[in-house]
Amino acid sequence: MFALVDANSFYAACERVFRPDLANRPVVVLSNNDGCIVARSKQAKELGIEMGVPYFQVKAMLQRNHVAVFSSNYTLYSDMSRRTQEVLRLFSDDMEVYSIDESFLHWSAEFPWQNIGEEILDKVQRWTGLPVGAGFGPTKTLAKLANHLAKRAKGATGVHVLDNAARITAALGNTELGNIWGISGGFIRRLAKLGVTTPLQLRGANPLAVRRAMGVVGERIVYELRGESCIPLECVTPNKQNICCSRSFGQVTNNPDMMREAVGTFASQAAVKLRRQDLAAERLVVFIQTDRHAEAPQYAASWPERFPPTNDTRELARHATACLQKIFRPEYHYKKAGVLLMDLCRREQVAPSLFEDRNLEASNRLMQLMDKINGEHGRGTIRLASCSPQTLNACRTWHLRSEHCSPRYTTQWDELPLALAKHQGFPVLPAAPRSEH
Amino acid sequence: MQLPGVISAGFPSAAEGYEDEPLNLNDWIIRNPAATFFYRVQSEGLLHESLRDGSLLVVDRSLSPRLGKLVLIEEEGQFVVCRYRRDRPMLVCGVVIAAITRF
Repeated sequence: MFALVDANSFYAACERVFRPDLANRPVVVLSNNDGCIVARSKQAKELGIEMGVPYFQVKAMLQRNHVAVFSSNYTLYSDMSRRTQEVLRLFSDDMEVYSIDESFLHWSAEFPWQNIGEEILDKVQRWTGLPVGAGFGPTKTLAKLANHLAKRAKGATGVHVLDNAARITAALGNTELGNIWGISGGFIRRLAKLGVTTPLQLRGANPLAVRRAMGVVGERIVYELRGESCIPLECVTPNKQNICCSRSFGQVTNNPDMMREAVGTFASQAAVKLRRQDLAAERLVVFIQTDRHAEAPQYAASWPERFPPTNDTRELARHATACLQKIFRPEYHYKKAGVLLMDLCRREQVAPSLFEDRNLEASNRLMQLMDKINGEHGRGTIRLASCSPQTLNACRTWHLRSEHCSPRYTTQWDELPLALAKHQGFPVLPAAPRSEH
Repeated sequence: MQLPGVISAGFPSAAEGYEDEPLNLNDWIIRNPAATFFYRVQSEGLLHESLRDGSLLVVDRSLSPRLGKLVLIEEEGQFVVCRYRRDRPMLVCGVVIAAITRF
């Protein structure tokens, strides 16, 4: 049996755990740089606030309705996510962390699933303060569907179990095709050509015909809907296919130095992520764009470059600036830039080539030292000179904007939540017990 | 080709095999890391020699409160530390398992 456990309005719920005053107030969380709304509490959804709308478009409306607004505090969210995973691991060692707020669990034996589900909800809520929902099914696809129903079906209790044919058929009969895991808009159109428009029809479809139309991914969904598990748990997170570092700027800019600094810094940040996973990259893409919401001339461009695999900050920053040179046009004002590293490989696979004068050993040592110092003394303690021209220190317009960021309640000593001790009626503590352990 | 560096080969230490990990205060205080959170005490007066403004509260959310024990509750939209009682409704967040004060 598989289960998918996910947190309800995860980011908003994390903020609430440390703000009891927000218990009944609508809460929204903004994306990086306070761009769009990426999470909404139940009350915020009821106000009709849509996912993904630009913050500036709804700012006045949020104020009118006393909505609590937060910048995304990923430090806090990842700590709360780690705690949730720790609780879930008590229920099964066979676990896949699917995203920051979703985990698959698997069991080979039979249990009273409804009870297990209720216990999961209760334990996660009590231990971490986060409300979660759980869906059970014989395959990951059905568990995902059950999870959807656990929240949205009539009289939903947060637990939904699909453990017999009648329940599975009923669930599929009450669902739209688009709610099935892995079915995107493109698939829906291709399935329609086969005459398949509902989940039940998809389950009854000929797997080979589906395979011809949608490939092996589509075929697997058919089997999964029939209760034959063919998407195994991925207990080890696979290596990333690419790494992206990009930001919207606080203000638009057409200053070439500032753009170079930004792109160089993104390349440095991407290099750190690369090394942390012991990877190297063979291709890098730089992209820049103007403000899509502004009434100004629009321009967006990107430029790729290929090179022998590396994870050296200096080399990556050099390639990034070279790419920028190709696409930068001073007549435009830029709002966003980014660096994408692609074609990643394991660092061990980077063999020195005969005709190269790179000293890999020295590069590795320098990068390790740099990561160590930055790890101990804070990000950016040691960085490339090109990433910090003195002239720009005064006007770092590209820095992340997060005006509404909450404290890092669980990971910083000086940002802990406060607990009031009212002097009156607070009895003196008893003497400590004489022995312990 | 680089030559390997110097290899040191002195007498083995008599303490070898007897080393312990250094003491870690977390191990002694925290039993359930996933459910344990820290809070900072805010109070106007001195409550007790070792519980005052700025003290650190270690709160375990997984424990059930017992009568008379220190608990962290939600009251009027704030976190409040107090003793657990049954004669009035309390919204308990967790049990205070330690208070740490730096002198």
